[in-house]
Amino acid sequence: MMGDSELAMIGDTGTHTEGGNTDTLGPLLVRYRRACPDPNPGPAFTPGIWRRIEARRGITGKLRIYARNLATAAATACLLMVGLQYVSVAERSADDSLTYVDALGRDAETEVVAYASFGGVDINEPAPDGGR
Amino acid sequence: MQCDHSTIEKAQKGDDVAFNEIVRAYRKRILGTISRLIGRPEDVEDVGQEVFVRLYYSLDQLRSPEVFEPWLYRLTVNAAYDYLRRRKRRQESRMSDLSEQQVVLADAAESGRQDNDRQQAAEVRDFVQALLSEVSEDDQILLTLKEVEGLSLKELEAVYGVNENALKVRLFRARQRVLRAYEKAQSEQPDDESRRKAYRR
Repeated sequence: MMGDSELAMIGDTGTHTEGGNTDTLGPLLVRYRRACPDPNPGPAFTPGIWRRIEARRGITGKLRIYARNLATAAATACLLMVGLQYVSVAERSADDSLTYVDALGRDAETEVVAYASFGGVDINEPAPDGGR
Repeated sequence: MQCDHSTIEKAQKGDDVAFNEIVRAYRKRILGTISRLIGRPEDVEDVGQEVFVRLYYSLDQLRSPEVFEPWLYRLTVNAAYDYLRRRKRRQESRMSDLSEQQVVLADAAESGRQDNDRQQAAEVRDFVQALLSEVSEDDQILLTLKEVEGLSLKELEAVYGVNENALKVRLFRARQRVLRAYEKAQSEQPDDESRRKAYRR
């Protein structure tokens, strides 16, 4: 970084006040300015601007439609997922309200039914020999 | 200011007639600046159109009409940067094409058929453009805006959004780098005394 003293030496316009460097470059750049006058715009210049604006407007318009559709789809998916989440939480909370014994009993019931149906015997029917 | 505030405000609200007025008022000046920044007459209109298209789509972000001109200059500088970067990439990828120096020589040969003043102007133009192409796009654009376009430090502050001291330092360094390129160019052409005199005149 430059210190204040160096900055002061550069001068008000960013030119170095020592060594006469600006004497070389300054006039050359002035001559360059004279050698490059402002060109006159061709007859197609302004219509060309409007063609570009219209072309870009077409692209941005299409992009805007795609973006709107995408946003709608994303919002719908979001709502759907929130709904599913709500249903699963409600189901889980119903299970959570059971006591340990009730839950165990419900599981055992299921197991007995499975075993009984596998053996082809209905346990609710009394055995022909009285269960002996 | 080449356009009144009401025209700019109307254009900001989407008035195409007002926008056309702005284009008419500034196109010559902007094309001139671009031609001196990029140094390729054949691409000046293309870059100029890009500046006005960017202006059209960014006018609603302009805070107040007072800062319109620095805003337009900033768009011009950005478009010139983009062009110079693209050109640099193209040049790097086309190694077999004509070198910059050959193009300069071809231009000089072409201008040799014209009258003496025009030939000298073409030589100065080619020499300065070759000189500026030796430094970075940053240096090139900053020096052109300051020394060739004649923008004040206050105006440059508005264009670049940096403080005056930082700009002075950047300008000083840019000038030093161009001077080094100038000295190098001089030492590479020791026999061409008349040409050196012409540049100094």
